Amino acid sequence: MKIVIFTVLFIIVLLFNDFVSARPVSYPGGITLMQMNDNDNDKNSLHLHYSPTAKYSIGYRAEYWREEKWQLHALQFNYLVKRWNKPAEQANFYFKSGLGFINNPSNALDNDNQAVGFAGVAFDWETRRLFASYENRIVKPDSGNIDSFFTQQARVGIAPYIGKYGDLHTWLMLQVDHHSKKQDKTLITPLVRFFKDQYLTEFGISEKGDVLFNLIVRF
Amino acid sequence: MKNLMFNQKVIKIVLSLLLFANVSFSQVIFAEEKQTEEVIVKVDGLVCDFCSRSLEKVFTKKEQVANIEVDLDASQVTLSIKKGMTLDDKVITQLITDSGYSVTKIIRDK
Repeated sequence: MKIVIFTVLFIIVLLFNDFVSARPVSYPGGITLMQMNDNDNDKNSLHLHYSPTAKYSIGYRAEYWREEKWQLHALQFNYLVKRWNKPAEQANFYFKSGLGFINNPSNALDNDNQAVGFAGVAFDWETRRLFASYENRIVKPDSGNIDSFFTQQARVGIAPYIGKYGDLHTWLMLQVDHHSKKQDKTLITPLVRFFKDQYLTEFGISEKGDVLFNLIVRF
Repeated sequence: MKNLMFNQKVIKIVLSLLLFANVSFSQVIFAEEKQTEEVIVKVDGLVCDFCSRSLEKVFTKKEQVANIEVDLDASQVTLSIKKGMTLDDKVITQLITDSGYSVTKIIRDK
């Protein structure tokens, strides 16, 4: 039954898919599936990771950049550098990195594939009522006609009600994205997050009118 | 008169049966309650339901644990340990720490 659910969700993830970063590391032995859909329809991505411990995860990351028409496939490593646990709040600091290749059919070189590495940090803080996060990433292709670029994302959120364990939880959030190579470098997206049990989903519409849809499932 | 006496008899029998059932039921409940020991663990960092699921996953794998309840409001986890089995404080603390949280206090049934 778990395999069926996993397969269906995997397919949904592949069909709808941009950028969510909730919990890059899970509980020991946990598998997390994250589908993400860039809110300007520029990038779809999928991240599947396994956490042997609560300190790090290793997984596969795939991205498709629609405008540039290239794909990224990489092995991603996420490390929880530090966690602060307080009576009514928690904060986390992560380091994320990956190595893989970009498949770029429009590459001027003979080989469509070029090696790529990326790295970044992420920080989040939350209470039962408030949320804030920031993350960035530098992507560095080896050669070819794709330049290095730098992205950032920040979020703030508030819970309109505080649910009990097992309830449907809701968060209202505001996301700001920045891309060093885009003409419109900054993009603002209000969104709503729902989660219950091991399922989390987000819906939003950016200032440009593009839809954001993200889904995370934790097994 | 005969009918009245019969009805009274029936009522007495029914009441006796109800009383007996209630006592037996209470004894069963009482007996069931004695089958587990409650351990309350105060935990720091317990603010997110989605992330706290990890504690359920981790503790339900332990054969000593009959049930686990996570209370985000009270920042605590309540474990029901099966009678005759033990899960000591060191193990509980290690499991919660390995899940990414911090234990501040453990309170056991006396």
